[in-house]
Amino acid sequence: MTLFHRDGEHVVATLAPHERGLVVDLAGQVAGLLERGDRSDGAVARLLPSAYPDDAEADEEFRRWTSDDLTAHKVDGARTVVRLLGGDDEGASSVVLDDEAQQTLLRTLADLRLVLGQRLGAGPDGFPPTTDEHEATMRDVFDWLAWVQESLLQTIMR
Amino acid sequence: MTAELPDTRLRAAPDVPWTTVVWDDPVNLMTYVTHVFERYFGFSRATAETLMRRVHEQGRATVATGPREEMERHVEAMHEHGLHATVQKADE
Repeated sequence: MTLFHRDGEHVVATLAPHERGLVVDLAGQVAGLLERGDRSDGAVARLLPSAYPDDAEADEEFRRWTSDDLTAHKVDGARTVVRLLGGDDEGASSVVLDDEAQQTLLRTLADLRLVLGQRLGAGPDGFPPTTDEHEATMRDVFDWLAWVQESLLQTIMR
Repeated sequence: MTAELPDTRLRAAPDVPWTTVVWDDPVNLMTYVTHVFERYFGFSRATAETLMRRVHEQGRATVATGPREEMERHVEAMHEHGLHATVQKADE
């Protein structure tokens, strides 16, 4: 089943309502996480990484200039995805994305996967073993989001 | 002493370029990294793929060189896209 197809300059998303609902739910959670802005949270730290890992002073200076804007842009992006995919018309079979909306969705999908990946302990060799059912489900969601992002990229880059 | 003047000026405005370094991470898709390089930096598909592979295989790649302020803008943009990037002196 294809999730996206091109229509001229636009990309049409044909995710099922429950699939859109899942992205909307996660995007809302990531927006909330960023708004709380707890830098000791590993997921927040991954979304707002250090530009100068070996220079605390330069790092602090860079953050002073950029982190508010960066956080605001990411929150705006996540909230835009919530609006785009979580519109009133829940039964709608498709959502039309212009160029800006395509890029916003791509970036937000990346952020969702970064947060989930951090929570699930994703490493170069995948995930640590687990017997926890919820964790196994979230790994499926993580992989599914990769498929969504890859499908969108294939449609955009073709 | 007038002889010190050129040296002082050189120290005050060193011509050491800075770089934007993108690091490998276990989450971002290779296709996505390629797309970001292509779209943000305006690289050709082939160049973007080469740089993406360098990140993936060598753990890091220098994607831009120039004045510090410009590199900081690039790094901020990479962070906006979820890529792990740092600003470094060219000789580091």
